[in-house]
Amino acid sequence: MNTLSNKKVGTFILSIAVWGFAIVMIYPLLWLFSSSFKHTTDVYVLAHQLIPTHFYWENYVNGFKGFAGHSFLLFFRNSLYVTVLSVIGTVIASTMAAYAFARIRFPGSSFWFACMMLTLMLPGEVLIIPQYMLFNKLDWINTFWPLIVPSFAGGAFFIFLLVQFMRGIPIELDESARIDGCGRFHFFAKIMLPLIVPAIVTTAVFKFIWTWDDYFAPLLYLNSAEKATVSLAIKSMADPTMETDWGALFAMSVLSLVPVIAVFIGFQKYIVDGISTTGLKG
Amino acid sequence: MRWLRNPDLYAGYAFILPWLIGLFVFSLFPIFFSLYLSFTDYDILSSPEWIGLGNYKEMFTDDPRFVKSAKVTLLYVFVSVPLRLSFALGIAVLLNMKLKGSSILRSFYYLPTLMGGSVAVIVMWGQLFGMNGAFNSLLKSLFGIQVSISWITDPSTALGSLIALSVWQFGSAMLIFLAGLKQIPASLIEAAKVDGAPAWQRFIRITLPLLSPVIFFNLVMGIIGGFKVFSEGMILTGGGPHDQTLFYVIYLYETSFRFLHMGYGSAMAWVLLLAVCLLTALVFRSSSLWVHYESKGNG
Amino acid sequence: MGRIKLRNTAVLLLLAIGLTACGGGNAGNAGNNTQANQTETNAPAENKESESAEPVTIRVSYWAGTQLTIDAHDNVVKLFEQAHPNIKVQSEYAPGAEYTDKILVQAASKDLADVVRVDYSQIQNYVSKGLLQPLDSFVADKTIDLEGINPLHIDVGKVDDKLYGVNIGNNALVLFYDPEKLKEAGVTPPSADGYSWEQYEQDLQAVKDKLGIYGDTHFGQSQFEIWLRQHDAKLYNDAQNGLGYDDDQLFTAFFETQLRLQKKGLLTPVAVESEIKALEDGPFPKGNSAFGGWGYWSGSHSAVVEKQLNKVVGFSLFPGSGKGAYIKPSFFHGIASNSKHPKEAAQFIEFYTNNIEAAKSLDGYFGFPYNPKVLAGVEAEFTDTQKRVRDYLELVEAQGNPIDPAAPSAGSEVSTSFKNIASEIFYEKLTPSDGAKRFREEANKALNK
Repeated sequence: MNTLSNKKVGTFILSIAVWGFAIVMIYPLLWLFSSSFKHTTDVYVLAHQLIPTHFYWENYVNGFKGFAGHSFLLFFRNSLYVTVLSVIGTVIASTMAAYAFARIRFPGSSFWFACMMLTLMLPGEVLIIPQYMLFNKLDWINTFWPLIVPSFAGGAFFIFLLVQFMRGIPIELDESARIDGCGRFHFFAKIMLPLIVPAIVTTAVFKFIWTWDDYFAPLLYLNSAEKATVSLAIKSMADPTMETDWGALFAMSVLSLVPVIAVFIGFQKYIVDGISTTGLKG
Repeated sequence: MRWLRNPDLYAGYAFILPWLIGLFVFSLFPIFFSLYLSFTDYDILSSPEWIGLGNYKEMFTDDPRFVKSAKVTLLYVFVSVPLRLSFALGIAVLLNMKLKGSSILRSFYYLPTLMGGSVAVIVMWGQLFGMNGAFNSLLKSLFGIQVSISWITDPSTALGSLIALSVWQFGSAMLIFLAGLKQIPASLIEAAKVDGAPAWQRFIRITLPLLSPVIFFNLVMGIIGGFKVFSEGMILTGGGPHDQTLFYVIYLYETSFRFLHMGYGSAMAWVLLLAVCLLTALVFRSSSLWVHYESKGNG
Repeated sequence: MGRIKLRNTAVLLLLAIGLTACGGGNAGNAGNNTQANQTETNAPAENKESESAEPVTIRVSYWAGTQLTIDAHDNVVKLFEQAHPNIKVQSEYAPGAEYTDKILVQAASKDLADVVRVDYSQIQNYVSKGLLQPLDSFVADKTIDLEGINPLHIDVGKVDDKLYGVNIGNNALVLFYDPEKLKEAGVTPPSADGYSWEQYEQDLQAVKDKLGIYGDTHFGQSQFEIWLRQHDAKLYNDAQNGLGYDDDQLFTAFFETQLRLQKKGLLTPVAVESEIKALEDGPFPKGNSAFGGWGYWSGSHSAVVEKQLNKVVGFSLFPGSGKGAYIKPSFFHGIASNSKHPKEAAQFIEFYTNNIEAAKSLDGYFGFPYNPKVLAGVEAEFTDTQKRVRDYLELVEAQGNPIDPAAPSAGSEVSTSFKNIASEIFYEKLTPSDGAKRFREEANKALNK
């Protein structure tokens, strides 16, 4: 009895601590949200104020109307197009490659795996120029292709992640499947994939967020305003040497977070519940 | 020619084919081009000029800023990576414990990572830890200490603040740990419970070994990412004050795109690659001692 | 004789191309071209003829970081397209430092836009690398009409006596002050007839004593360059392989003054200054200091600062002799060497520079107009702020000297060195005289790479 109440008290204290810390973690979001309702001239002067004295909804109106005659609706559409296709490409190619590296002992696999790790280690900054030359040769400048097509080769980060997860799946499964006359592709699609749903969803969520947030690639490859993605459009609203409508900028920053947060909240349960729906326990 | 009849050969290459094509089409040329540039003097605007090992020689003999940037980065990696991973693991384990509202908590803990390095976060971070920021007011009201330090821009605290920021954005690592924890078969932990093993023993004996592939992943990626750290420093401090937060890649970028020594920047990139490669190889080597796999594979 | 013949054949050839191309274009989309076509048949075959009716798309890249600037530019593009129905403009923009990155990457792939916006600090480097083409022929045939303009505003765009950049508008560094605060502190506002460093220091002290606020922010490289100019020196020597001043005492004295003001508590702390993230941020626009010498430019910055403070601000030259002041072109328009439509690009530049409707729409966002004809056209619509900017620019023109030659390509490396050394001096990790030596060493090394 005594131990039980001790345990309860412990859980209670833990909950308080975890929740208290959580509040600290979301402070920035609250701050951003509140700033998005402040008048532009107040953003810096009244930076410490968490609850604005006046709510300037105009920030959202002014921001949403975008620029060069294109509203944020178009930018959201562009971002969604690029992001969704990139996620699909990354998930397909990465799980395939990861399966080969984790489960198939084919000649050259160590070599290619090492190559893949090496591509992760080179700072991308020195690849900008040759990559641009390449896409320029392909005549892909000012199209979405440079942002989408490379995703269909998967990503080294995600391949490595999925490899690590697949290697946590008992090998006996493969053997029993082989005895059952289950082919490689069949095993991959029907048995392996369902088992690593948490990792696949993690991959998809990360890729979604990273592509959505990326502004440097869109900045380089997209020239015209009607092609701008949300992150690029927001970046184009702030310049430290020019007049900036900070209220509108923050309002659009809040809006741009909506899809990412929605994706995260919508998919996180698959990260958590994935395994329980499979029959691994047996 | 027996290996040609190995069915695994075809299956293996069929599965990695999309990645392999991508490597050849999109990555190989840029990678080798940058290797070539590292032996040249290249100002981006005119053609590269071959100078052999000149860039590498200058780096190690005649460039105090290079040395400074290497030191700053090493310090950053060795402090921030262990801190962030322990944080991420600790919180992941807590969130895995079915506390009330754990799904909301997960979202709260992940939000800072979602917000990434947006303009808003930078402005906010500045006003939180600025000289008249919320943090200093908190210190004053809680402990009565009058602090007038601007945490991000003061030479003695700037690097520490960037480390704090990176620890605060532990969400990605946490999420990967969570996914890993969820993959541990509940039956194993139940069995240990029946055996009467206390919670901490179950954690050390079962959870940690089974989680080790994921810990390994987070460690390797943490090291690689740590050495390549760029945007956090670039947007918050720009490497300043007087190079106190001059991360390796910030200097590389500055050299390549501001000073127009792209050849030198490329050489720096390849030196970084070698260093990170060696370190990662060490971690991979050590993995046989502490990483527990259900199946044998590469690595 | 031979040359004239050649030119005639060239004109004939152009005409032929223009006509055939025009026919082809009509077959494709007749509706669009009728208007352009008519002007061609009506106009006598002369100069204008090479403005063929063939639809042409030109790319224009510009520096823009806000909705306001993008919309202002876009408006000019619309007006231009109305005036030249056969030319379509595709605008590309990037904010802040990313603009330079993008230009570099495009240049490496020979993929620059037809019309490129270039900063004064880069023009020399771009020209020496062959990225821009000379515009003299377009000026000669009045495609770009620069007649009646003070050569002072044109010659800044010349490299080796050829014009590569057309000035977009004028700008000058300014020392803002808050008239209300100065009055409260009993300080007479800086006089246009001369404002000494001693007086400046006394004024800062008075502001601190009476109001308990800071006087100003620290001065940096741009103010140091003004200081050098006041002593008949400059940052780079003529060969651009070393510093343009021989006496390190100049460097030492400049920083000793700053350090003295800092120690008296007259300047905002360095740490606070490095927290500044935007134009709207910072001690002066927030009302925490009486002077704003933080390197503001007279152009669009004055409007931003006045809006933020919600009051009229004063414009002053920096302390010391007025001969240190100079007028800087805010940006240049140049035409890329890889441009396939230089003629149309030149027409765009002409429109942007000289069209009165365009100037009205731009509203001085990218620098103050300098063409007397344009000025006369827009003057009636000047806001009070713009009138003060105009008066200030006139003051600078009267007292100052022409701008120093553009920085060499190692300039940004030298600036980084300057910034780091200044920071160490202000954090009292380095004495001004040691800083002077180190700056000379590092600058020489960078300039001789």
